[in-house]
Amino acid sequence: MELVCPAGSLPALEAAIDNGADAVYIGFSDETNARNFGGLNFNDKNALRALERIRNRGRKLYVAINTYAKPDSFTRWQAAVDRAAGLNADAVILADIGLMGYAQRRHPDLALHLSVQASATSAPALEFYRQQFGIRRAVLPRVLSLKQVQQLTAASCVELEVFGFGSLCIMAEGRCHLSSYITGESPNKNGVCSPAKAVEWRKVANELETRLNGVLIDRFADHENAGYPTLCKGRFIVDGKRQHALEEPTSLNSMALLPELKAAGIKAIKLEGRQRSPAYVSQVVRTWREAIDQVLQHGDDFLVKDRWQETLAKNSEGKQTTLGAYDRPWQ
Amino acid sequence: MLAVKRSISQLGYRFGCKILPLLPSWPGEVAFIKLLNTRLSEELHDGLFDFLDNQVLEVNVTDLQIRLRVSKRDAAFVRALADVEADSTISANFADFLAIASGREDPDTLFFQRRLCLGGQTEIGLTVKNRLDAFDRSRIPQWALRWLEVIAAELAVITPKYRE
Repeated sequence: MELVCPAGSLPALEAAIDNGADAVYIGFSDETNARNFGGLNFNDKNALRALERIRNRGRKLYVAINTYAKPDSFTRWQAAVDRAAGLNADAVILADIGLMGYAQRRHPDLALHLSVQASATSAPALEFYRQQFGIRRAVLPRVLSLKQVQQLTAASCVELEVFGFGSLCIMAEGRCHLSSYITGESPNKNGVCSPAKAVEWRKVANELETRLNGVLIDRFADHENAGYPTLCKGRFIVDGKRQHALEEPTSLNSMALLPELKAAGIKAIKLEGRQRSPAYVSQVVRTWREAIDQVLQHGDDFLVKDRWQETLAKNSEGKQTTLGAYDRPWQ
Repeated sequence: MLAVKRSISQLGYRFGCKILPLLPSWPGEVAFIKLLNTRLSEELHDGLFDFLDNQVLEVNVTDLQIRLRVSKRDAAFVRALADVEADSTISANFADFLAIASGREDPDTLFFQRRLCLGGQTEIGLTVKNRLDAFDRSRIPQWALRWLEVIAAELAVITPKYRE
């Protein structure tokens, strides 16, 4: 099982390599990737440095170009694919079918991974992407239960990658309109959920207010943990009660399922967090490296160690970890 | 021996909390800005901090009551005028700032735990955070990094947590 780790900067990429990443995924500094935040990601100079470090240590580099191209600026997305191919990246992670078609025609040797944003949840969908665009791997959406992941792996014609750890969103990958509803910008088109320019934190009396484009989405008392300022994680008054109406700030943690995922034939585990610092990458990657090594060596005797759980809990959004969507006994 | 060392650091820290708020802020600000200009010269040259042009960023060290106000003009960081309100504020205690600087803690983690606060224009604060995360630590002398780690580790133990 390959451990695929996030990097939003060169030091984060080094931290991932040093702590045992098999592959690192990065994005360019523009809206062609879904973590388009100020000061984050790689310009051409740093992308070259990233590749050099990856090659020196015998790891793989994937480039996420996982947003949907706009009709009037498709050339920017094409240029991103050309840049990744020019770098000789080991794969590009794509969601847009127009872009997949372009990549396949223009760079037939470039491996294509289907992004989670494409939201392919059935074997026929995966087969379609393979036939049409020759994708080698697909990242599965987090809406699936473990049983569904197992069924899909048995039927799939391509390698499958699942999320191991990271902040959860509302899990309508590639189809979520909440951010654009309130800010006019969305992960799918602009590469940002809740763009920072629309976010305001304001201390009012003893509470911290979060506003998104002027709209109040949450209010935290002093003792409460905060989450990312997204509409899906806000608290709203429903039936007279203030609550997380859509989703609680939660991080996914599928570590306990590693033996089952391995037995099912999952080829890669992805860690979320290109927006996080090298400190997060070091801690989380090291923990997952140890866990995966343990599964590879001891198989079914695998138990999640308290120390791993503590590290992951500390780095979690909302300080909760959960099996998330992989655990849906009712499905 | 460890106990002695710890009481000395605690004494030093408490002394700092009492004395530093009484001192003028400009010497610290001048030194801080000089450090930034020296260490971030490549980034400044590449235009990576142009988003701070004529903007005022305030770094607020809550326990020591130190406010360092930074702006940028031409190709250098400069002190901000005293009467101009900050466009963006980053607040945390000294231990947490050092934990971030030494790579012990992730800023988002501290943010979730309400130990790091952003005020004013979020985009400025977030971009500063990301630019500093991208800073290549191999450009800091080894001895300085080592010291930073030692002091950060010590402060992490002796400083009362923000939430407590």
